[in-house]
Amino acid sequence: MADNFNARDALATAADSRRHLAHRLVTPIWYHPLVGVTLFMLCCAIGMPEGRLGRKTRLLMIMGATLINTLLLPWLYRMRTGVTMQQATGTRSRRFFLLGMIPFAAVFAPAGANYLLDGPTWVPLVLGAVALIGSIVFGRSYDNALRTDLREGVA
Amino acid sequence: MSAPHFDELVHQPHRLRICVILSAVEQASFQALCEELGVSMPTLSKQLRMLADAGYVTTDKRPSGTRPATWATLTKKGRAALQGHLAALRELADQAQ
Repeated sequence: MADNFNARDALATAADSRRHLAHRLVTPIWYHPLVGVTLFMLCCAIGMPEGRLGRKTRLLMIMGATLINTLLLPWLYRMRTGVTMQQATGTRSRRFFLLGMIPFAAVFAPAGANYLLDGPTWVPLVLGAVALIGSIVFGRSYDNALRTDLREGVA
Repeated sequence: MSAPHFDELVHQPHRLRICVILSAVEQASFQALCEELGVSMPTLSKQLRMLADAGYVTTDKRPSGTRPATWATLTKKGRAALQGHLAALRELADQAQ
């Protein structure tokens, strides 16, 4: 059985490990802009009015963006950091993640409506730009929340 | 919240660090764990094998570049053991105050 001194040492060791890990999980600078570009592609593919974008191009854009987001980016992150993360396991990061989903849904819904109503070309471009900038700003805030959760031992 | 339970296996510093790191991620590569702990591959292997024998950790090999890389995951049993151990440590530390 450990004595009290050892218990404190062990707790300090655990906290130190979490701090080190949080330091390791700094997302590369290109990660969120790349996510933003894929969201821009999705917005355009979903929202461009008929005639402005061919069916095949639309499909390729959706498939490309989906593959980059679900396969390429997680693989690059795994290779770079040596870990795979569960999404938003801490209180702060989970709250951030859920709140972040609302504006993204709010961007894709009008893009889809623009396609159905055969609206102007600039609408998906503007919505895509909002998604791109939003993903950079939100992504960095989410990463900070995740690392704070890790350091505090709630992730 | 797990009930406090001092776990001798988890208490060893290297193994404690392995469990803490794995509790925060889904999986960690052998390479990443070596770097985080500052230990050699054989040392890490030995500690991971002890945790795996107790059912606290599982390992699997995945293709990575030219040769497969080993990835470790903390099991539910391992997570419960770590939480119980940390709770026991907090109790011991509180008693000292």
